Amino acid sequence: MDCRLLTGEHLDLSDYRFGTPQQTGCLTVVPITSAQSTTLFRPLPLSVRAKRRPAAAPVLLANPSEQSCVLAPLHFGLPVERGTSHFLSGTALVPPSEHRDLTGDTILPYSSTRRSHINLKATYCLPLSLRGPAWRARNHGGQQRLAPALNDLHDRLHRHGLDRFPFVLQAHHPDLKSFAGRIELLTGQTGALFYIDGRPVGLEIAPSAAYFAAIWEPLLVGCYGLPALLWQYDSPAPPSPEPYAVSRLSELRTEMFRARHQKQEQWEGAVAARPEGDFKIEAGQKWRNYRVHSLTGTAFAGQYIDEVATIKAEADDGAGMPRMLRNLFRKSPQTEETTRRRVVYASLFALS
Amino acid sequence: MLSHLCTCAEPLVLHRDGKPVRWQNEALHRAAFASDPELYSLSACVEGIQPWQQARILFLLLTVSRRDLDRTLVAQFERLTLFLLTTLASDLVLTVFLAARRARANHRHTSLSILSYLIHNPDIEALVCARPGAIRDCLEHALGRSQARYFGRHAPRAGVEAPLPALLKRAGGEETQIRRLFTALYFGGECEEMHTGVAVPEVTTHGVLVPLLQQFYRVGTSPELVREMEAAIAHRSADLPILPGRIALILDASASMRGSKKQEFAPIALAVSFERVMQAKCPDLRAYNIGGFGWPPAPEGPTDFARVLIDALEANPELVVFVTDGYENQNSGDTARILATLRTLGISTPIVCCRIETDPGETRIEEALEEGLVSITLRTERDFGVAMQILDLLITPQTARERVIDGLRARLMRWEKEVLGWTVAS
Repeated sequence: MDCRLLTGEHLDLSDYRFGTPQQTGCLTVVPITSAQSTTLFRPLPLSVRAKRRPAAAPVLLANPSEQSCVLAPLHFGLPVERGTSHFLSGTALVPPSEHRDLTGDTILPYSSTRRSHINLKATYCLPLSLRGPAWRARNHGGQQRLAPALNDLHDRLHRHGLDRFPFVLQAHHPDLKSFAGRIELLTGQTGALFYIDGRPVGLEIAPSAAYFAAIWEPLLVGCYGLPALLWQYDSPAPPSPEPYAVSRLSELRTEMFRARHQKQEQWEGAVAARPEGDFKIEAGQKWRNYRVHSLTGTAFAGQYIDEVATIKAEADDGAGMPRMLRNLFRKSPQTEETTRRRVVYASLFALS
Repeated sequence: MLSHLCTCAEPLVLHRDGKPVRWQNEALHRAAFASDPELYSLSACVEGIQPWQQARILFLLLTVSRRDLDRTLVAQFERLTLFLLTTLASDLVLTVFLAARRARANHRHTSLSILSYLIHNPDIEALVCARPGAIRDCLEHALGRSQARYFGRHAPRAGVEAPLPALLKRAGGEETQIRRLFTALYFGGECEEMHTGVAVPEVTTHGVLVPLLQQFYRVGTSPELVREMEAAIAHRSADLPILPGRIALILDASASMRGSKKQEFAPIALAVSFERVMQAKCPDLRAYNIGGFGWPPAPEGPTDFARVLIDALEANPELVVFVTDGYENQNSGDTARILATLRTLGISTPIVCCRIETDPGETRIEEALEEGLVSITLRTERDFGVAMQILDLLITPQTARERVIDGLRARLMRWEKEVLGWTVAS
């Protein structure tokens, strides 16, 4: 499947290929692959060890690497050993050999002191239902503005006998764990489009396949799997499968492929459709020629990083000539410089 | 039922409310017992059966009346009761005895089985130390409370010894040993050692064939490996029945069968092992692959059950066997529609789903292939025997029952020769 533009001229996804959708229950994931990838970025370290343990210690993230830049993904947890872990309210870039104070970029603290089973080395992502409120509250209010959505989520979890967030993600609930088993991460996959009940709910793109593999399970299970599971619990059982309208076994194959083709066309249309509403884009932090952008729309919000790439295209004045003659007669090559923005990271989610 | 016996490890629990024991799938057990008591009781000898399922069979053998049963069947029940009492862990046997007490099962054969177990058990002293209350309850249930207590009070007194009750005489054993047991129970004897007799759960291993195939996938082939593998296949398929008829085997070699971490290549290795065993035992087998090709097939590509199922059905087989981990993440729902269509077309070829489960913690919300299909769980190589017996039953239901019963009888006889019975069935 091809997708030219998702959000007009700003978010160009023409470099990316969209694969065949994978489905489990109401959750559908369209894998995204790319021929180009950058290894300049690496995800969050597994855990940060706090030197001291005051109640409101600053959240400092150091990047000891000399080559790669740490890219802390949007709404991911920053696990802190011997201290309070935090969910981040925005994408953060920590350039090589530098450190950054992320205290102002935290949205929701979570402690591991009372629950012994929580894995400090694990990374979590905010569930979809909390990402919208967290996005709105990122610059003002923080945790207090997140409280109603958090309470609502806890009520829904409690109603189905599940533990509170984020401990529910570590409880090895078989239904929740099954998402990780059923949707496969493909070789070379650098992103995914998520749908719940046929409605687009998220777009995640990572700079490289290795980066995406590191954030895949928190995204699939915590961010999109948990809401999908709650949706499944609340919705009635799916209808029994409808038989194909055939009278002989030999017609069955043709009919099945026809139905598949129809479904494929529907998906292609759904993936290529531009989301409704307007978008407001704000430029943020910059490192080299990479810049973080915050996108706020009526239905979607999130952040993405694009790379401003300069493409030099030589004017082809000797077309049709043999190569040797072309080199002899061409005095000075005329080059045309065009700039192009290539998205290297994106985390966009449905607001409602 | 056979699949259930080998997979369900749920213990038999006696609740504190004193009510008769209730367990999940009791109706399934009772229906199987009522429909074919001979096959049901012999299923206690199936390879790979869970101990708690054997305990359930023992419970039914003890609690069901044998008044109207055939003599040969009663003799078989007694042999099987003896076999189960000998092989099961003491904790499980005591639980079954206490469950029989709560069910107020006071048949003669029940009482005699309990008494003979307690009298002839070589570990009875350790058991009395560990669970005196439970053993006292079992004895009083078997012998009658008044009689047991009277005998218990007078058992050790020299000169005025009470005579042995008739039931105890019938149960056999030395009189001094019986009196010592009652003394220990009612006056408290010295315990030599504390022996709890807790049943240790069996460690699940993949046997021989699956690790060899895993090695095949990880490091490649070598002549020694191939030789060992052929020997392992011959060993594994030695006791299995030959499946007549045309069988279509659909092997899922998609990417999901690769497994991960410690279990890498375990699902595909188990599936390929089963395919090799089937090839050895089915003269007319046609294999289809989903995903990877070659031998052994590399686990790669998407899972397209529906297309391969149509391919298999077009060859008009008598039985279709899926060996898969159950994922259908691409073109989800197509197989269910195909199965629904087959019902409308009147095609009644039995389709069996052998589900590979190498990661016991992982379950699925929806099982794409279990829409009205017979399902067999394959966790280790030991499950191949049960799977083959179920397939045998499905493909030739008329003659397979006799073959299965003959096989189980032979197994019981082998066990009886190997394990020296220390209980005496009356």
